[in-house]
Amino acid sequence: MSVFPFSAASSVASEYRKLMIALAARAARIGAHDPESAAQEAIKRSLLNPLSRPAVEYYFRDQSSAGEQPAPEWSLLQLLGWLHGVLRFVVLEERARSRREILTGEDEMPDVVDPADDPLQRAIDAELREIVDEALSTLSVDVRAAVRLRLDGTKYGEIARRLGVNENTVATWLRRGSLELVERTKRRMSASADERLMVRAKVAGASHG
Amino acid sequence: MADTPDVVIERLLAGEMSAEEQRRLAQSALDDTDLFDTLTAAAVVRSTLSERDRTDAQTAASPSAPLPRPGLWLACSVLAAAATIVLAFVYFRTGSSVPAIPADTTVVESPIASPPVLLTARARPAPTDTFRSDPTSSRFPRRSGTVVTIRDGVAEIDLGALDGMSEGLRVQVLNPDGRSEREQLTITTVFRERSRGRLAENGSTARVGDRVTVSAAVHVKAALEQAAARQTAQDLGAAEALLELAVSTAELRDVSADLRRQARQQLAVFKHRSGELAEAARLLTSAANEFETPPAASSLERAETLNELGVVQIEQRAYPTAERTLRSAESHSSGAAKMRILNNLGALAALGGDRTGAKSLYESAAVLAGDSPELASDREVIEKNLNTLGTHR
Repeated sequence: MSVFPFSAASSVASEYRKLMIALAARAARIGAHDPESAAQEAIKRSLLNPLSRPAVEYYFRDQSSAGEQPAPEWSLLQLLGWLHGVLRFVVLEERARSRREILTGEDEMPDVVDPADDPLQRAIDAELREIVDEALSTLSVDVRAAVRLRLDGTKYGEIARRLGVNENTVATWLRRGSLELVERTKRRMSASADERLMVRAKVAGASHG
Repeated sequence: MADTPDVVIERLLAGEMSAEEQRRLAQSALDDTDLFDTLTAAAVVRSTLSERDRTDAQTAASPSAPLPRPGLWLACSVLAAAATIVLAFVYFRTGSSVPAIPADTTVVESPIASPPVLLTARARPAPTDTFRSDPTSSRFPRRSGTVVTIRDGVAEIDLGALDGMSEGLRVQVLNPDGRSEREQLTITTVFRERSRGRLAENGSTARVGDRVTVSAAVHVKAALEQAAARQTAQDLGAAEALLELAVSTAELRDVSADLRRQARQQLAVFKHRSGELAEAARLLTSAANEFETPPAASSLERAETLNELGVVQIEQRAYPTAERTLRSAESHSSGAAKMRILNNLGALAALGGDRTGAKSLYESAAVLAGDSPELASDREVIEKNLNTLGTHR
C-alpha cells in the first residue's frame, strides 16, 4: 500500500528520478520483483521520516530543483546506511506479500520502516557484519589497527604515535586500507546478493518444473 | 586538484568531508552505479564498525535498526562509555547459556511486552604515553629481562614500554641466577621492547647477562594497558589472556588493593560481555570485598563496580540480590553513574511488574541524563525503556 497521495508520488518521481534509478538497480540485485516500485517506496518512506528527510533533500534532490538548503544533521554515509536498510525492508515486505505471508494487517502496514524486531532483518544484519569482519580480516595487522583507530576518531598524529610509525606511513595505510575494506565489502555484498538470486531462481525453476 | 578515490573514501569514513563535498559526491554517485554501490558499502562498513561495541554486548535478540547513531563510536572511546545490554534472551531463548538460578533467588516473570535495557559503565584505561606500536603484533609484557650492554655507566636492558618501563622507574638488577640483588637501575630512555638506564655512579657491580626485574605492580599495569589496546584492536583472545595475567599477578602482596580491584573489575567486564556471568559475578564480588582495603575505593568506583554486579545478577535472574546490590550502588553514586543505576533499578521494577515504580525510576534517570551530548545513547535507552512501559499489553 502506498503511503503517499498520487500527486506526492509523482513529485518524488520527478525530483528524485536519478536516486530512484540508482535504488531500483540495487533493489533488483537484492531480489525485488518490482524494483522501481521498491525504490519509489523507499524514497517515500525516507521523506516521511523527519530525520532522514532533510538528508535526502540535501544530498539527492536533482540539482535543478535543489535550491539553497542548510546542511542536514545526517552525513551522507548515515543516509546511505538508512536507505540501504529501508530498501531491504521494502523488498522483504514485497516478497512476503508475494508469498502471501501476511506480515501484518494491510491497514496496519507501517508508514515508516521499523525493521527492529524482524528475525530475517537480524539475520541479514548479521550477514553484513560477517562480510565487514571478513573484509577487515584481510587487511594486514598494521593497516587494520590504523583503520579502526581512524574510525574511532583518532587523528593521524596520534595513530602514528600509537603505532610507532610516521604520519606519512599512517596516511598510506589509511588510504589503502579504507579503499580495500570498502571495495571488498562491496564485492562480497554483491556476491551475496547474486547467490541469493541464484538460489531463488533454482527454487522457482524447481517449483515450475 | 581532485582527491583520488582512496582519499575520498578515507575522508568520508573518517567523517572529515564538508556537507557540500558530500553533496557533490552524492550527486556524482547518481550518475555512476559503481560509485553508488561503493558509497553504500562504505556506509555499511561505517555503521557496522561503529555499532560494534554496542552490538557485541547485545544478544541475538537485540534490535538493530538501519538508522546509524551519530557519534556513537566516539562515545564508545571515552573512559566511561555507556554500553547497553539487552536481556531479551533471559525471556525468549531456551537452552541458552544463562546459568542455573541460585536456590535463594526468585524468578519474576516479565509482565511487559519488551525486555528492558540495562546500562553499565565500560571503564577503559586511558592510553598512556609508554605503549606504542600495533598491539596485535606485540609480545605479552614480561616481569624479568636481561642486561644486554653496559657502556659508560649506562645499561641497556631487553624490557621496554611493552613491559611497563617508563622514565624514572627503578628496576632491580640481580645476578644471573636471580638470587641476589646487585643494585638498582634508573630508567632514562624507553623504547618499545628495550630501555636504557643509569647504573650507580660509583662502583657499579652490574654485568652483562644480569637479570632485571620489575615490580608486580608495574607488570599488572602493563598487562592492563596492553589488554585495553588488544580489545580496541578486537584481538579478544589475547585481551582475555592479558587480563587473566593481570588478575593473577595482582594477587601478589606488593600490589596495591586499588590496582587489584581494577584488574578484577576489568576482567569481570570482559567475562560479562562474553556471557560468563558466574565468573563475572565472582570477580566483581571479590573486588567489592576489598573496597575498604587502603587505598579505599572512591564512591565512583564503588558505584560502578556494584552497578556492574547488579546487572550481572539481573541477568542471572537473581532479582532480590540484584536489587540489594543496586541499592547499595545507588548510595555511593551521583551524576552519570546514578543515572545508569536508576535505569537498572527501573528495569528491575518493570521485571517485577511494578510499572509505576519503574516509570518513576526511569524518569529520575532521564532527569539525570539531562541534555548532555555525552549521555545521548544513555538517554535513548532510558526513553526506550519508558516507551516499553507505555506499550504494555
